[in-house]
Amino acid sequence: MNEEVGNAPSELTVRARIAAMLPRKSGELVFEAPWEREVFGMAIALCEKGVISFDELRWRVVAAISAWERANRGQEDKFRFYAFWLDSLERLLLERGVLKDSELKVGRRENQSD
Amino acid sequence: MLDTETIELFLQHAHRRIEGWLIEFEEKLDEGLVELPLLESARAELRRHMYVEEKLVFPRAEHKFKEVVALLLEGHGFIWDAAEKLWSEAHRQQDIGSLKKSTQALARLLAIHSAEEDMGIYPDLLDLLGPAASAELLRSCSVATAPQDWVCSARCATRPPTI
Repeated sequence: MNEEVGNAPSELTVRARIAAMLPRKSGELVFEAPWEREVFGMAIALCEKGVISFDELRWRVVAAISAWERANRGQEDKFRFYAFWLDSLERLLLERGVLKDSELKVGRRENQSD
Repeated sequence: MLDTETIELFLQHAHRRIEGWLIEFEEKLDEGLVELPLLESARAELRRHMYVEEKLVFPRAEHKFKEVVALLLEGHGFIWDAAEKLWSEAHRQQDIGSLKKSTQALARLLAIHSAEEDMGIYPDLLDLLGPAASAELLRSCSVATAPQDWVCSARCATRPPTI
């Protein structure tokens, strides 16, 4: 992914555009756990390296949030924004063949034991 | 409106302002204070933002994002209810615990809705409309104000008639 957005009148960088989309508290990005920051960082790095497209990732995240919203309407379940990033990123990487299911399982096991 | 602002950023910034006022309102609740001006700022911005979306933004995006727009309009209704409930409780000087619960309920709905818009439809507006039309939309949005009696589309059918 190029750093500059070609036709954007303000010539905003992709990072600046992404940063404007994310939840903040007192101006700072909100990460409730270290893994959220890691998922976010990993997603951005993969997009910038061109492994996945950010447009595809963001729409996956939106679809996942919308499905969850419909299923949980009227409930008070906690909304974990970056859980949708993680889930969408995993699925995308599996589909692209970047990640194997077995590798994902190992990664999950390792993270659980941390 | 800043010279460097795009329609995408303009709409996202409104979300951040609303969230900011609600966070401050909740922080004041933790101190035992009910700061109505903070809530009024959040409510006024929220109404204006919904109005701008429903009257100016969504009609221009609907042809490509029909289902998404329908879901967002439905979401406005739930946010509207939660905001009115909080507003009414705050004016009745409801106890701090109840107000905090209602503030968090509204903040949760807004977080979900904002994520859908910020990451979904907004970033596509420039490509969808083209530079000239998106700049024109930005100009229209930045001067638009919601009429006093405006009600979001998801709730206007259920609204009792004005006497």
